[in-house]
Amino acid sequence: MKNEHTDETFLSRWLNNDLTNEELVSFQKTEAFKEYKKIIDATQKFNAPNFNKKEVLEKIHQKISKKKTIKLIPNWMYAAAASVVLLISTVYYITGSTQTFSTSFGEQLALVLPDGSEVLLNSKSSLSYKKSDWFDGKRTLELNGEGYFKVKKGSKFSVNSTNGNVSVLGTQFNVKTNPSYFEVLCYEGSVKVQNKEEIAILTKGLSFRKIEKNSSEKGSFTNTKPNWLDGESSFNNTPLKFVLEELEKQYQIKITTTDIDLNTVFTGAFTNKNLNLALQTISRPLSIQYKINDKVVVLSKK
Amino acid sequence: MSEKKSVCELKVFEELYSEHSKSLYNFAFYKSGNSSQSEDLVQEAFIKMWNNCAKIIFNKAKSFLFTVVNNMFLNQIAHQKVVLNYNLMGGKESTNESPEFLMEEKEFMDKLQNAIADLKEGQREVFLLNRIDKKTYKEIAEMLSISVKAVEKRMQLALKQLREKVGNI
Repeated sequence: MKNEHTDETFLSRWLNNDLTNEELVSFQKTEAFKEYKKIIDATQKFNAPNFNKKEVLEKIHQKISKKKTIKLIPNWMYAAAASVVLLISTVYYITGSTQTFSTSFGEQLALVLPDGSEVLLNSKSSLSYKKSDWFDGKRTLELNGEGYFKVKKGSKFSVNSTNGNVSVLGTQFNVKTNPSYFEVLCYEGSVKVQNKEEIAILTKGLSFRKIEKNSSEKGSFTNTKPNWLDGESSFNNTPLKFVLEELEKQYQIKITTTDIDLNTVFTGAFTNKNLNLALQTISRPLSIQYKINDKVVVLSKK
Repeated sequence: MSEKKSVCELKVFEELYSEHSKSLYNFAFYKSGNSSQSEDLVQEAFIKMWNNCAKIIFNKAKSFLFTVVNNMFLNQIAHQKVVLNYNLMGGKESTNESPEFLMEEKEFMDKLQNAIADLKEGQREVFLLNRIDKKTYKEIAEMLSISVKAVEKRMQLALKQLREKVGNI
């Protein structure tokens, strides 16, 4: 009898009204029953604290809606913001900025312009253009120094410099423009050269040159491309002054002269790869001797 | 039974809330003995359900909620020792009793309350869910993801231990 209510679920069954009549009757006779009964009866009086159902639901709603707004913002706001930024920067990129390329001593630079035209920049030269112009179909750029252009066919392509403008429709030409030296060589097609005083049309193999205030000269040549592309600087009846200027640019040196007529004309070419050789090529025909002092070259009469 | 309700619908969500929030709260309270902590647990469980609504089948929502509360409670006590402060509220007091009886009664209730607080968490929640919330063993088993047999054992052990603690008054 005593063991009857000690199996491991007896009390549970009692609470669940699952005991058989016999079991219940015998259990009710025990001392333990009264105690259990008292505990159970007392427990019925307990209650969990009130639960603020509404209040908690409101809090949940707040948090949920907050979460949802946070989630929604990235989905479209960020996308919108990003596209606005992209749009603005694209417009700025296309229209606003000026592209500038420049080369240092002895450097060359090959560029592809927005329309696909190619430019080769010789040493110590710079080229710039406004993207907006190109976007509008105006192919215009500023050159200072020397550049060889292979222009894709299309609208007017013009190279502006302080010495004059060169404009073409699609051709290959070389422009060399320094403060006092302006030379255009046309390698293919035709080129229109215009400065304050005159307009010249160059066809293949023709050149245009204007030195300082002298009147312009027209000449012809047979090369199919500028020599400097192959690492040589060539000159045709060019005053020594400009030859030496070119030499300085190619080798990053400073040339000083004593007793030499800088207006002597020079025809020939020097290499851009070996200073000694280059100096020899220039000095021998002109009977000049040279001395290299680090970055300074002194030229004097023999 | 087979009707498909999406937990992601606010109406369904609120339906689940009104049906289960109170018992979830009590469940949390029997575990923690702390009413504000229990409110937080209920809140967190429903928010978690909302955020994962797409993954939760309507029929599993209830057990999801109880599992979340259970797990979160365990995570919380891993960090802090819960001071059991059972503020179980007494039922209606009958005024016909003699002062001595009321004193004794009060004493007994206090003792019982302490004894309940001293129960192991697993036994306490089962005992109170059954006795106060009138949950059947089967329902409790589902809430806790344990077997009915295990619930019955816990009930038995809880009651035995209470008797030992409270003794014969």
